[in-house]
Amino acid sequence: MKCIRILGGALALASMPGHACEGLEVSDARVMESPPGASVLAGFATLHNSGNVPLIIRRADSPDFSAVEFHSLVRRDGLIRMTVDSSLTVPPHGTLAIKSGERHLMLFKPAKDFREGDRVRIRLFCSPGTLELTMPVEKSG
Amino acid sequence: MEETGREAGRSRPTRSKGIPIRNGVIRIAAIAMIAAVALPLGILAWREQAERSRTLVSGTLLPQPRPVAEFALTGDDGKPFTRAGLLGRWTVVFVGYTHCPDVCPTTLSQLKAAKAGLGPDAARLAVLFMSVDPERDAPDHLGRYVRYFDKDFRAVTGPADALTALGRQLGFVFVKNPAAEGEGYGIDHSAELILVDPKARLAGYLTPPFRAEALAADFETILRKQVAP
Repeated sequence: MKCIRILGGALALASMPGHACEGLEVSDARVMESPPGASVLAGFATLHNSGNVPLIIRRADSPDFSAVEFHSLVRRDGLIRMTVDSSLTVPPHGTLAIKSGERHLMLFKPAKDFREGDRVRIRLFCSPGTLELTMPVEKSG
Repeated sequence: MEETGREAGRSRPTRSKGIPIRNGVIRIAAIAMIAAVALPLGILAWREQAERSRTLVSGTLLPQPRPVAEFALTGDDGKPFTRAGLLGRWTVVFVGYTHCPDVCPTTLSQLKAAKAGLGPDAARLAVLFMSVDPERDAPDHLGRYVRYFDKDFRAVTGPADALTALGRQLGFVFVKNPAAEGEGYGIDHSAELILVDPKARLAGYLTPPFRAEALAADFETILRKQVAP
């Protein structure tokens, strides 16, 4: 029954192209300042889904980076391992924390050395629609 | 003393005869004398033991430090970095690589904060970032990278086989992982901080998750340690 409702919801949403990620709220979005010449930066945010169906973010991009990937960290046998996630899922009426030590937005090849106070633009592609974020650059620690 | 003797003898059925009382007094006196000598000795021994096996907040010290054999890597100044580079100061080794966007910068920031908490003693502690990604981490890039966090941090890297050999000695591992990045690769690596004493011996490990305050406390502990020959 639930399955059918989720499918129905997804279909209903799919018939509204161009919508900005229905139900997605983003808070606490930030990119960590990195050493000059760093080839990758990490972005963090808290994603909240106010809708009744799971919200799936299929990919992301940015005019300020060559590519954006979803990464999670796994600690196993004393090793830290980074893995690529093909999508992010925010549960209905739930939250997905992209937070340090667990997950990050992997931001490749910055167009310049971003300093604290700068802003970077990230686009999230949901199904359907996109959401444009402006993330402030912050110093860590 | 008399009081105590009577107290001690009270439960004895032969109390009225008096002799056991004297026995009791003698016994108590003997115990007191032995205690007077033994207790401070015991406390001293216990203190020494506690000092010796002082545990770390975020890790462990090896019962016996293990000498590190000669190795050949390259420092962030482009010059050879060998075992001699570990002599004379405590060294905290952090294994990572600059393409690691979260854990490595976070840990280096925590190390910076912990070191700042040491005050003047900070000069007796070296922080060494060991890049296990020689392909992408050229020495000059490594130097700029670590000194963004702290002007005293140093970095080192070298051929993969030299790093693997040193890893066997220091107890770290790293594995190239093509699945970690859509473009390029990641490197799975040990997350512990490795403690090397001023005689270039593996002395212990600190294990994540790290907190700057706990790290600072542990650094104070190791800097206070008498380094046995």
